[in-house]
Amino acid sequence: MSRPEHLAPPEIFYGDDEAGKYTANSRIQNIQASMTHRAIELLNLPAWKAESGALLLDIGCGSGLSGEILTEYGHEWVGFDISPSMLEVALDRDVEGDVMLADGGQGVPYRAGTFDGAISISVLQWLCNADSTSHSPTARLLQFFTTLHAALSRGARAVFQFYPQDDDQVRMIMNAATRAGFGGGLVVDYPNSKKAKKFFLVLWSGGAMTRPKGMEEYGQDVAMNEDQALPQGLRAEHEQDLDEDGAGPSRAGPAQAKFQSKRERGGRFDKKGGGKSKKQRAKEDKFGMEKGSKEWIMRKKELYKKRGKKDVPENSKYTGRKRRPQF
Amino acid sequence: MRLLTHNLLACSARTCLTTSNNFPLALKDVQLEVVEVEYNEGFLKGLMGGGKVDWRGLVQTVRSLGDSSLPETVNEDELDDDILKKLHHLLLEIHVTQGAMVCPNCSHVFTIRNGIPNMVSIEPRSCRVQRRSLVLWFSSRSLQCSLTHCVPLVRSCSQLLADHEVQR
Repeated sequence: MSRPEHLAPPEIFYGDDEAGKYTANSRIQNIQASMTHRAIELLNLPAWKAESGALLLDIGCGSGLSGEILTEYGHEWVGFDISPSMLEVALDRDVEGDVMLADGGQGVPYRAGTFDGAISISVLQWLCNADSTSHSPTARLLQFFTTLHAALSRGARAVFQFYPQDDDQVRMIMNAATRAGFGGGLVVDYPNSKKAKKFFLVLWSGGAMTRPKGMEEYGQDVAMNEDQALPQGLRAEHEQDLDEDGAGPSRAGPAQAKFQSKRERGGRFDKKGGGKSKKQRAKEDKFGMEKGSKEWIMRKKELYKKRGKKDVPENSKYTGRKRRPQF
Repeated sequence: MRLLTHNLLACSARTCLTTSNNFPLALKDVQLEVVEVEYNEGFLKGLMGGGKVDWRGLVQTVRSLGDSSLPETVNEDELDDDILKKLHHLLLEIHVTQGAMVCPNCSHVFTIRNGIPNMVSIEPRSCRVQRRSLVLWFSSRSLQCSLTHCVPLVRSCSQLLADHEVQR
């Protein structure tokens, strides 16, 4: 399967079937959750704002997988998406945030200075391919970034996790963002791992959030750093030592990872870090549990029962017990 | 859709983006629902202190729904508990489930189904293409508009442009 955005426009690709499958898939849920956590971290909300709850925008919220995480953190959010089927699923899941049908390329439909931050998980690459009867992708991207820039309040950031096709696409996106008035850059997590590599576009418009009167009891009194700085990308444990010497294998800095023309969609790229050997990885399943171990067996049985599989044996004291070696 | 979200909405049509008259979207034929939520004082203070709520728009909207309990102006730095509790109820607990919203500038109607507003503003491409070609024609002819045989042409161009304005 090549890139989904080459197959159809998003409102058609995410039809009723695909929307249901996408949301029910536990692998997708886990990946989206971890990327949302990282995006919220990159948002760098001041402590007083994070404690009291921020008003955030979820761009391309879909069925609310990322929105639910925002609610967990105690934030209020508003989301929009172009696919009605995904929004239906969001309704069924009864998400806390308000969702709406909107096309980002036409401009985000909000007043100026409304949001404390914006996140977007796995969406931006869809905005770079427009169907032929509307404006060019460049015009749509510019319209999107300009209106987003207006809709964010002073000191607010926008964090986009996306899957760039190639360098040109990244350049097109960054150009549009710069023309709209944003500063910022690309943060790459695990740049040397083919499967764990994630791209986050972090944008801001200068300045810092001022704490209003009456909110002194939230957060600690820390001197606010006025300048925005691009955060460091995450690295795998075995690469962190090499960084200090500078004598590691030839690789670019955290914000400038080398690009590959093809994006691999393997089966296990949501693992935490790339710090395990191939042999070790073959023995483990995606949650880091060793296959055949007792906890793996218990987990699998739970999963089968939940899915409604017949004839799943009941758990007893013999489940997963170490057997006498057979030879 | 909560009234808080409604307070944030604005019409994103090209012509409306440059005016300040693209919000609040006037609610029309709405069905409301009240869902109780936990009171979060910090969040409301952050909203008001950060100037997120368009007070004039909120008062207008709430009055159109038949509630005149909000004052015309409010001092954002000194909010008493009473106002905060009222805001909590109005902004976070009232949901619009069905209805429509009208842009005060371009009169585009945004429908709301099952609590989900449709904010996709369809701009007719053919209309835009026609306008662009007319404008180009007009500007290329502007050097000759003093010549009498071109005056009828110029007049008809501007007539067509005027017609388009009325239609939109």
